[in-house]
Amino acid sequence: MTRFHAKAAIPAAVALLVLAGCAGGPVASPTPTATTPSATATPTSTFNDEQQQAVAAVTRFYEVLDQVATDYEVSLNALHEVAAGDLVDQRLQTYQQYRVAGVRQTGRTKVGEVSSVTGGAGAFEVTVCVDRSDVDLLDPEGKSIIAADSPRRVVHQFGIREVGGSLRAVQDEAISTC
Amino acid sequence: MLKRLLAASGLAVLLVATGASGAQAAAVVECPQGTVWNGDECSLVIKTPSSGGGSGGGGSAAKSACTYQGMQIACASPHGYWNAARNCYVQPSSPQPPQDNAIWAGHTDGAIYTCTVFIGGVTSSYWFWAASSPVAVDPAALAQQIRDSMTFTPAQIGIVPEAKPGSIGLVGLPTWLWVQNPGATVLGPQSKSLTSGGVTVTLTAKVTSTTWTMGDGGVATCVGAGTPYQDAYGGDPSPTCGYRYAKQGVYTVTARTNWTATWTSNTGAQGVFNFAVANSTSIAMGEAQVINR
Repeated sequence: MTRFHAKAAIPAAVALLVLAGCAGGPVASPTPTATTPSATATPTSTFNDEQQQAVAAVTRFYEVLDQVATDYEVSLNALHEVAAGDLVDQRLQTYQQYRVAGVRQTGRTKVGEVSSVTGGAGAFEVTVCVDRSDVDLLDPEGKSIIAADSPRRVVHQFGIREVGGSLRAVQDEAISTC
Repeated sequence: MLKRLLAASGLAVLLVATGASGAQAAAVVECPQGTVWNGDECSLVIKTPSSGGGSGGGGSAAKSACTYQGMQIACASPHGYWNAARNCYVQPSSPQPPQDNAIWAGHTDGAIYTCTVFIGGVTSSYWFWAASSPVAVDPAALAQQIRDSMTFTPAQIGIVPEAKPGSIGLVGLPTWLWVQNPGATVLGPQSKSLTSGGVTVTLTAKVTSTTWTMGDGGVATCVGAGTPYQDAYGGDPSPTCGYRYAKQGVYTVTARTNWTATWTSNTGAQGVFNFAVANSTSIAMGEAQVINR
């Protein structure tokens, strides 16, 4: 039982958005199409406006991550728009090495159920299910470099901070599957 | 659940870990051996096609101390100095991005730097902010830079018999060898210092010996410039550098000046470059015939 499953009373609206990202969740819902963009998490009335902005920051984070991973024409510096601190450094280094090695991503990340959003005044913690089951990382020969047993739907706890006038991801911790 | 050690069966270890292996998530997710948590999943790391960071320092004891995925690469490049922490060449971004660029992340101090990797024809760069300069100057790279900036002139060969048409030496008589143009760039010593990023390196280069390859299989190794021949010496041998041919013939004589360049730095690092500069000429040797009538 994962943290995701332990969340019992999820409002229907939340459940809908969740299932767009984490297929196979406990509540039936429409399945997203293949053209669904990265962002699928839509804040609901459960969260106030600030918290919804924090969730949107996570969505933007994965949108940009997907862009730089799939399209080498997109500057790695785009990551600075959505992340800061150690987190952006880690991702920059990873994706730079991928580019040098010729590793390309296929598929898009789905940001699924938002388990919780806490904080305010420019400092939030967003716990969300991130679904990478449609994502693959291919080496120049087209072979996947993702470990066969790697978890593909993972609950991430993001630290979101207001940095330079915008909300950006500054921390990211994987805490369970979903 | 993620704590379980994921089975590594069938997963070939292709390579080195990415620089992101220290991500926070790594404390929670244990990836199979040979894979790393890239922030979202456990991934193998693909080996880069080939080293392209430039060659190391010129065939000497002062080899490059910089490596990328186990390959030795030049510590200095047009993209700056190698930064082992980021696995890229780093230099201040020029021009600096405007203050309203997201890269500044609200900082008003420090500077923006560019991190560049160029491997196998692929170049990838990104910006990062740092409060103080992360450009780590490699003393060995500075030493190489000094060496490359110095002039090392080949020796002009002084030799008797002279290397000119019509001049023929006699087998068995002394051949004199010397350097006609002794000077700092030919025999040293020459010294130079360079400072960058608080690191100062001083390099002193001098010729330790000259190896004369005589063309007949013989070699004469001499220290110093040798003694120029004068007619007053007659058939005496050179007091400093000479040779005797045993057979007549036309020989190519090569003077190889052997340089030793030692460098020290204020970081305590030191090293030595050994290299040679050569020049050649041809001489003719004949045998004296006694004719009785």
